[in-house]
Amino acid sequence: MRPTRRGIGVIAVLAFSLVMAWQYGARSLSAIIFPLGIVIIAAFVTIYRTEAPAITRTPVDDGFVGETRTIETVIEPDKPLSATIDDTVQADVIAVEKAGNTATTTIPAECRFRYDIRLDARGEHEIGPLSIVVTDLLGLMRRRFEDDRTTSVLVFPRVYDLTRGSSGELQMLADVDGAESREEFDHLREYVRGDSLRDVHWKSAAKRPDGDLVVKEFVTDEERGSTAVAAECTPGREDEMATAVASVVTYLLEMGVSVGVKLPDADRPPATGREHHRAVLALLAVVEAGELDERTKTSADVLVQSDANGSAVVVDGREIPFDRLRGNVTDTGDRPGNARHPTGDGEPPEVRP
Amino acid sequence: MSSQSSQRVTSIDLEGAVGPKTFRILALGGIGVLTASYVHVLHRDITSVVGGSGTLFAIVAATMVAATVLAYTIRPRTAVLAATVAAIGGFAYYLSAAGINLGIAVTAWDSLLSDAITLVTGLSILRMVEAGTWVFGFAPGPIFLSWYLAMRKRYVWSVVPGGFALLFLVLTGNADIPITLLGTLGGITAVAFGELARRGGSIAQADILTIAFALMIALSLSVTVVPGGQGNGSIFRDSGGPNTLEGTIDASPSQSGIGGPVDLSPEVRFTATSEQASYWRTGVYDRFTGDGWVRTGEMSTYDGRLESPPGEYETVRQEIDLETEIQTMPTAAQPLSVESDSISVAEVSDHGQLHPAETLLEQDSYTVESAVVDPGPNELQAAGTNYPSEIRDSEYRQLPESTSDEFEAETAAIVAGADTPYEKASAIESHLRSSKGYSLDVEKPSGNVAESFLLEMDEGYCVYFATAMTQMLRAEDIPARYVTGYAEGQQVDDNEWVVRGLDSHAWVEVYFPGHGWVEFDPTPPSDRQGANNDALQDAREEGQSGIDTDQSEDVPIEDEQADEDPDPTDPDTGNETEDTNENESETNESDEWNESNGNQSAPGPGDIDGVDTTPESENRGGILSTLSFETVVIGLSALVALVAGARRSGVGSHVSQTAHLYWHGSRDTPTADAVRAYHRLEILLERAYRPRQENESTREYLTALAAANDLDPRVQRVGETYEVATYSGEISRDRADEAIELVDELARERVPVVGDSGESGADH
Repeated sequence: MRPTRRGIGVIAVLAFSLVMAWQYGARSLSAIIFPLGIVIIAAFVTIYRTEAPAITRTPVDDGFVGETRTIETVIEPDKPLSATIDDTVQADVIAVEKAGNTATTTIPAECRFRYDIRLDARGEHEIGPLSIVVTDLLGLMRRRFEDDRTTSVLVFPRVYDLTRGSSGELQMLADVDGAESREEFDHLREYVRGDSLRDVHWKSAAKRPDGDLVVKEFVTDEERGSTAVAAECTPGREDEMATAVASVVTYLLEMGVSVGVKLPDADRPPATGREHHRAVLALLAVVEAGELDERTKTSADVLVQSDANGSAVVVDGREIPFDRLRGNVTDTGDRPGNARHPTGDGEPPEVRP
Repeated sequence: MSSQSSQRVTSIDLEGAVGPKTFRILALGGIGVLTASYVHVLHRDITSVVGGSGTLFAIVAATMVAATVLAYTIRPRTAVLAATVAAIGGFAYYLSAAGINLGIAVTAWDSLLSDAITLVTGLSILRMVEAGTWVFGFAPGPIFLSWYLAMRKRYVWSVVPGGFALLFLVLTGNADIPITLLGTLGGITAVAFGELARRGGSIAQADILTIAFALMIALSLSVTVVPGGQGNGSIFRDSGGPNTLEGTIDASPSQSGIGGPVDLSPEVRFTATSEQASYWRTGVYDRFTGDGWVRTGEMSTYDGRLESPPGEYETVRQEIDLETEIQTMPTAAQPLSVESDSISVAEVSDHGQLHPAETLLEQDSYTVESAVVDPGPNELQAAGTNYPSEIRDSEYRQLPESTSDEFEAETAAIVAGADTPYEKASAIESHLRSSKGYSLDVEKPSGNVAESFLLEMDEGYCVYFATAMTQMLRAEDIPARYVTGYAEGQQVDDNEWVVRGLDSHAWVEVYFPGHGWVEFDPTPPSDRQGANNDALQDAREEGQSGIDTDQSEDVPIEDEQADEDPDPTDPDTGNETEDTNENESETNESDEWNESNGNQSAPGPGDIDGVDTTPESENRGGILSTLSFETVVIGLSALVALVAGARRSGVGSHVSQTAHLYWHGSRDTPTADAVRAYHRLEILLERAYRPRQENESTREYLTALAAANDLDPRVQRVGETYEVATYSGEISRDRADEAIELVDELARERVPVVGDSGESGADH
């Protein structure tokens, strides 16, 4: 506990008045000395008696770069407090909307302190710890209560919707795994949500009187082989690599392809499904720069390489610049509008409270 | 527990009713009160005395309007700059009005600074010659800045300029305690509600203000911070003490108070050896505040020669031998030069009065050469009204702004028929001498003393007479001033006078063109002399020491009241010579008591206070009545503090709970009684064991207690009664009474462990 700047001012005036009264006569100084003395003592007692409020942090859902999240902390003081709340946020990776992580406010008996953040960079970020500086009614004394707990938020790399990209290159990517097996047509069935539009049998659909879509079912869908995506990058290019890998993996998984991932310091065996997608994204969220050994590189179906020249996707020995794949060579691709968050199968569990 | 939750409910209710808008209004109100407090001081203490209240209020209003408008148009930095420029401009305006060249002022900044420091050590602003101009220069800065900032919701910063202005006026001694307190509370209110508005707090948080404010009022009005320090800056100068006439009028070199009942101190102050008797002047005052006199202007160091009167004068040499410590320098008016072996430095006021630079000691002595102006009535008649500009434009014609028309009309009636200033002065002097009685035991009136004395009071002492006469002369546009000092004293030899504390006196000097300042004394001389003689007589009878010198102890006190025949038309009534002659018509009265010679050492201030020569003056009804008002305020504040404090700390609810525990109260329906009985039981159980949890039914609660403790069967019985009463809604009168009876018994049985149970109650 210590006096605020204002409190020091009051103490200074008080001391000055006392000296003047003592040296040159009381005059009406008692009408200044007593009130100021009383407010200082009252401030001291109030703050001294203040107990640390109970602080409960609510977990924050993982999200993609560019998304916003609400950080909520429940603060329960035993009586209303005048306080300045300051939640520590790493400014370089997380942007706080309207500087909401600090607030000069009154904490009522039960308070949900919430503010919005924008996830600016991939990675696992700590939010907190929260500090509450309690002041008395007049703001003369302050006392800091620190809470050592933090919440972490996992931020996935940005994912681009590759279906908007150049179709030729995309086709290459799509065909990387057993394009021929696609020909082993089995039967037609009705479209269900989640089916890839690529599988729609347009001719049959056009013939149907009800206009419902019909999709092709392939014989060896379950037995199809898996695609191995490997990635490496030069230091400082992790984000680009992660974005490229995430986009490619998302695209492939959406197509129902089983995808395995090999990263410089981690890998994930091939699988499909939402859980797998999420696990891959979680890996990519924290991936670090590094090189792969030659064997891994050559065995990979898709190799993503990021360096100073950007990211390139190597498929069957052919190098496609990721920018082209993503369908935008210009800068506009960085707009969040062009980035898309996978839905359907690959939908990450982003549920706002 | 229940009391706490109900408290929370109230706070929520209040929160709904009192929002940020109300907080803003309260905060602005606080700033308003703070501003009003120092504007009030500026008005009451300064402009109402020297004039210009209308201008002051116009300036205040214009500043407030400007601040309100500019709050929405200019930025704080610009505003601070504007206020600083306004303050410097105001100060420059003051300096030029005071006749100080700006260039000189800039180079002499250090002396300006030292002047400011002198002000802060308790020099009233009224001491400044151009006090009115000073006010106009001083007021706009803080008012503008604080209102501007308050409008911009910067309440804390807005308290700074306002608080500075108030503190400054406190330090100059112009602000009194109640108004200062009001201003301080205003400032605190503004900060508190400003914070609440900023933080979106609830009014419930402000409850501590109630306690704090009540305490502040009680303490500020009842306790002084420095022991013996109610004084107005300087300590009482003469050894006379605050309740003697001397102590009242000569307490400070810069102002002369007007007191209520006063005592006369019979101590010998000095012996004067002079060619002729004279009044011994110690102070000249020009500005009348309505309840006291202030000397404006600066002190300069005596450099060998003082200004001589413009006309003819007679030079008189006096040697003054001090008999006690003294902080004034009595001389015959008007001193021309002073010589002394023991005193090295003397100061001279703007009015030509000598003052010692430091306390004069008992052995000190000095020789003064004075110019005695004593023109004949014919000369004064012919003096005319062609006053030199430095007299005409000075404070010598100042009347407090509040002086009523009635006072001027009464004065005009008294001087009706008098054509020249001299005739008017004589008419006023004789009117006062003949129409008012002499008494040392008068209550000081609350308003303008001159007015009250002329229009309402029947008697007074020299201070009242001289004040009234000075003001009446001024009402007639005749330059006049109020002077204090000592009457001529007791003549012990041809050329020697012994002057005592009881000779302390106040009289009037009137300016006549071509002659200078001429003395007039409106106090009935015989009555005053009589009172003085009585006082000395009493002191001699009591065997008091320090009241006689070697020369005076054998000289009897004369009582020449019968001989007194003041003739107002006599031109010499205003002159001390005649008074002296009258005093010297000796009658034979034996000296009652001879004092031992060695007993004349300077008494400390404390010794003198002990002597009360007029026992009647013990009656301090006036002080008591003002005290009792303050006592009421103090008492009420203390009570509020106590109640609010008790409520905040929860003691109050504990007390009412305890009362409820032992006293069922008046009977209601049987059902209600049964319920109440159970609630009382629950308080009992809560204190003995633990409170019932919110989700716990009464039955569960009692069962749980019974399981854990050895519960009295009567408790179960009351619980059953309660259940029957609440669930069936009907219960017999007998059953309800039985429950009450049982709870009463249980409560009484627990009495010895109340302290114990209280503690356990507090734990929960």
